[in-house]
Amino acid sequence: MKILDIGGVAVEGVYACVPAHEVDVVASLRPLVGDKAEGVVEATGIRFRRVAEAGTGAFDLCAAAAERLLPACAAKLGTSLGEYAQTFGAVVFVSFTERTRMPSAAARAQARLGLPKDVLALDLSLACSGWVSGLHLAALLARETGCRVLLLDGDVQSTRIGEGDSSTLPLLADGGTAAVVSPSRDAAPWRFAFLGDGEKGGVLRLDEGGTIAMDGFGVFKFVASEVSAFLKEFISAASESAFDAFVPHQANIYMVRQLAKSLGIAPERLWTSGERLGNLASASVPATIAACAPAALRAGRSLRLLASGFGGGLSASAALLSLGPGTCVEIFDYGR
Amino acid sequence: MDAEREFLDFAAALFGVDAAAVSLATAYGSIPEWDSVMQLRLVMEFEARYGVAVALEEVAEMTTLGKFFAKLGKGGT
Repeated sequence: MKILDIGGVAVEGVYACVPAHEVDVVASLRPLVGDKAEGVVEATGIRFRRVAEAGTGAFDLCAAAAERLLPACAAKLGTSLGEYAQTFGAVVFVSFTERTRMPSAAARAQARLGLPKDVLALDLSLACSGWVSGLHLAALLARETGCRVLLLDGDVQSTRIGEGDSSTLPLLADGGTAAVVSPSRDAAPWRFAFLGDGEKGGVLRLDEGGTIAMDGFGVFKFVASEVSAFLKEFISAASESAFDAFVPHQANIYMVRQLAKSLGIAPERLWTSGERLGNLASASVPATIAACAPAALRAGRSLRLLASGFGGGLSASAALLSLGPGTCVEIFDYGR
Repeated sequence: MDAEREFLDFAAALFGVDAAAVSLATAYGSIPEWDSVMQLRLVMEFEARYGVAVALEEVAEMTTLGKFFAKLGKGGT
């Protein structure tokens, strides 16, 4: 395992924007599986999914999150939004479902948010492990440029669920997030590691028609064997007391509880949001931070988080990062 | 009722199939009802009914009803 340490960076804020429309999984599944719907929900732990209205894409949700995050960060620093926007050096956009490939979503974000024209703006096509990968790149860019980096991560998966697919329908949902990574001399170092197994890529993929195809048992086997071992090694390279909370990709709640248990992480240190949001692909990690961190940060202390994404690729990622007590965190409904 | 029959009846009821349709040789994917979600349900219901813990690493290996039954210490394949 390659352990990648990076110092001198901090998170100024993490905002999540989810569609206001909440779908009851049992009700939506009943036409497909009848009376077994309740049992499916008990097995996955996902009772509600947030689903975007027709015409709303990943970029829309991410941009909405950024449009609320940037003013909050500027206000915290006592500067104007215009001045704050000019301090950015890069925009990274992570998604595997964004509809418009050119112009890139990152370029559109630069224009919509009034960021400088000399930013490096790039899109990354990544699924479940993507936020941590994007965070690593954002950290490198923040340190390299000495400027803030905007990390956007979101997907609208609901339009890519195959008709009658009872394996993905109870899980996959929509959401967008925005995070600001900034240079910070005094910040505690972050640590990253990555895992990839492209030979198993067919287990979770977009088919030629753009529909998500998932071998659920294949994904579970990957998590149970390779991801579990990967995270055990990552944790042992740090120390058990090195983090306050475990923030996993919200693949399904049963799976992440089992994963936390196998890692020896107590239930109270496991953060989840998937029960009421669904599986938001890679955005599930920052959305869970946005949902769970406010209560923890109210105590006025810094938080050390173990964040991990896993799935499409197949791939996995892990990060130990810190949130300062002044970090802006919020989750809100799109259009409200 | 012997333990094996009782276990198979439990599994058949969970799958929603006739008891005669399953045996200890019944494997994951060999009947349409035993899909990836049912695997999780089977583990959860098995743990609750028999008071047996199934570790994450074991869940992916429990691919026949015989392997579940063997966890009860009563044989199986």
